Amino acid sequence: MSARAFAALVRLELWRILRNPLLLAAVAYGLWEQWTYLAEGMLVDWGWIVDDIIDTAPFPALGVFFAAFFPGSRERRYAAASALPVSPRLRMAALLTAAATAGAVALVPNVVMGLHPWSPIAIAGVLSPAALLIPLVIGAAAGAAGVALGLWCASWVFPALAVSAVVAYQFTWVLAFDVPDIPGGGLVAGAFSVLVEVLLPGGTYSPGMWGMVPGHLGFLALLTAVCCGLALVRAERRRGRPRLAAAGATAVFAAGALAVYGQVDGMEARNQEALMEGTWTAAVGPVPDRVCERLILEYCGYETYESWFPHWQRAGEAVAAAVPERARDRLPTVQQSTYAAEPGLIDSAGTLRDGVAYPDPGWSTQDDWSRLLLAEEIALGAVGAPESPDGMEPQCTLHGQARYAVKTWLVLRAADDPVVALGDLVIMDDIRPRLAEVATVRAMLDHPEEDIVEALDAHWEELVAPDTPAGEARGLLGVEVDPAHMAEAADMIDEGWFPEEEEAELAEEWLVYDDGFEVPLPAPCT
Amino acid sequence: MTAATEGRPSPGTGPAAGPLASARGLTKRYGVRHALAGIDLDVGPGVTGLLGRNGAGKTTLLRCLATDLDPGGGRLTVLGESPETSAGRTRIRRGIGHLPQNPVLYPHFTAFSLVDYIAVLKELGGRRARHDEVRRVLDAVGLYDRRHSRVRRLSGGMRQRLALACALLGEPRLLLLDEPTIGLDPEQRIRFRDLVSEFTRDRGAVLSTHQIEDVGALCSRVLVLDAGRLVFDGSPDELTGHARGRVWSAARRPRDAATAWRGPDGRYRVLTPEAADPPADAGEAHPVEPTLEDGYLLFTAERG
Repeated sequence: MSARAFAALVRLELWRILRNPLLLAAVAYGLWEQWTYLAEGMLVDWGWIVDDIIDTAPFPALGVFFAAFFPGSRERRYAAASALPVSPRLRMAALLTAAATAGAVALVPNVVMGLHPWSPIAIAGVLSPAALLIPLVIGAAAGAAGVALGLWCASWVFPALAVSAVVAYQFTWVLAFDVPDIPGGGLVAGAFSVLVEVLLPGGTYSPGMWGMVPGHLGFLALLTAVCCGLALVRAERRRGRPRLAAAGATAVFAAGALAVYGQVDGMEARNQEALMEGTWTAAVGPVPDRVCERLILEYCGYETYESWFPHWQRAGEAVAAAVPERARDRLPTVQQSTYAAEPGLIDSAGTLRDGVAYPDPGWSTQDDWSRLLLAEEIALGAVGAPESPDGMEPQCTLHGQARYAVKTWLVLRAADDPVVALGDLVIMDDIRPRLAEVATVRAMLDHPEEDIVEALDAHWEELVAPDTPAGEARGLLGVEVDPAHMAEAADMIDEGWFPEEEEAELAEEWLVYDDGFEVPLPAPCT
Repeated sequence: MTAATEGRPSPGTGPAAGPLASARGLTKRYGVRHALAGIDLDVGPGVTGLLGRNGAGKTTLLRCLATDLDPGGGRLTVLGESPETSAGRTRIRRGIGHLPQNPVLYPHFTAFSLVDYIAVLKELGGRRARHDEVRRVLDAVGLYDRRHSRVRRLSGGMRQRLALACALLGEPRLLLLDEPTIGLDPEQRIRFRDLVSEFTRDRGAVLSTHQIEDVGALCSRVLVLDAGRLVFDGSPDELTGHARGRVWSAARRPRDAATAWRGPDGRYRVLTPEAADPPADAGEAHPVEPTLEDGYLLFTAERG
């Protein structure tokens, strides 16, 4: 067979696969999924980008799998007369080439969209370009697998199972919460997570575990090759050989999977350890230099992440500017979490006490919530409250102290709309806030900012002292609370809290969550 | 040579003045049964008809000629090439058009895309020339207007014509047609005859069929197979002549007739084993002119 004829056959099969409506729909859905990630407006690094692309890859890959299943089952059901110059083996080779190519081509739109070509947000970190091949090879493997499955088993049961798997994948997060209530749900979720792990062993690439790339690429290439081999063996229709080939392929695939697992497990362990130690993970690659920039506060991150600093500074400087100069030595340094240890992974007692505030790693530019979280950490440091910054559970409470109003007002300086943000903070508070405290903060927002800053400067030490009660804040700040402030504060509290909760909490001294989990009410901060 | 066949790897050319296909002592066994039991044969230009009962070996012989089946023994050359090697088989396949007994037609393809697919498998290129060739053969079999129809939507006769279009692709030097007129209506059969007749002006075709009229209308040579052996090789006239003087129109069915059947006029057409007087128990009888079918029926009847 001439190369020209082979190329023509590949083109013809490729065109037939690519114009399959199921594939086109799957590609469109994958793009839509990718778009929803983009629309979140997160500050992203290259590891995150690759994760997003890989997360959306199963959809077009499933489309390719289907589109390739049809010609595979066609060859199984209606093997054409063989008295043609192009032998069945070459026809199968051309079909596999076309299916794998179609798979790679179908994933290209996802990769392109995932690269944020239209996004104004700069991508931080570094990229290993080879990682962008991973989704393409996922597509190629899906194409080859579709042909192989079509040849080995023309039944529709298997594609239906594949669809079920992806649907389950979509709802994994739902199952994660509801599995105890769904009969067999745990089994389904568990089986699916195993399947996902088998197809792409290893965890996330963010912030960029590029060391895993060769292993993943090798594994996916092996998967593709095994599928191609199985298809070619089956196409020959020789007795005995297919079973032998299937057994051999399974062994090769299992060995490859185990090898990749070993590599990835080691890297994940090293990565976890590095995060807890507060260093750049060795699996990522060369350790980038740290970069710091001082305005009122100091902001530190890794080289190539400097584009994130302005977002952190908008929160940090708003708080710091209102803190009297003589008290600014208590303000924390803002540090990128990976660089300074992952707060969620370490003992919460060791964070703010060390004078470090951690920006949200999943920083959203779409709203001011990430900004408020960082502002709160900084404000807590400013008023001397060593509260856990990870938000898991309160270590102590400022309620009942004058510094609650100070801290909350400082946080609201970073908000787009401070009144709306106050309502959010009230709802998200650990315990039901007291009406008078919220009304004081609401009144502060109506007061001229310079006057508040001046009052803070004049009475800072008294205002942030643990033994200054909340009731004294108004007088020290020179704020008058009128009935409108009280009414608005009451509305904010009622929107997020049931009336009886306050009494229950105060009486029981325990905080009871929806799932029955009980924690002691936080003690007043000292 | 059409534009579609330009640049295509060369098919088997065959000796300048030799047969298109040649078999010597060709055998093929399925288990203990001999499907072909030593066939000697030369196929030249024109249409060669292949007749025989079911299971006589016609399809096996055609599949061997098409290189779709490995013969068990003997020597075979097609278009001057031996099918024993892979390269030889490929060269043969480039030069033949094979319409199998049960053609495989992908039901989800359109008529055009199916023929185009087969054209690619026949190594016809490039794209524009190939598409021209596809249109040509679809037009030749009267399916051009249905080129966008899915194969599964076509009638049985249309599918048969589609399979014929596939066989005609690339202007093969030798056409191998296994029961090609099954399912065709009378007009289509006439059109088929015209097509094959036109095609074989300077090329060859082997036509395996149970439609004796097609053989009579198309073939210059007839082969009759029986139990894997070639029992007749001659012209249609010679086969017809085999029945001369042995065909009668009689009032009653005689007991010793080789074959007899009742016609629409109520009289019996009687074929007798020997050329002689009409059977005594046939009642009033008179001789009639034999047909090719009479010759074939007598020939096979004589072999039990």
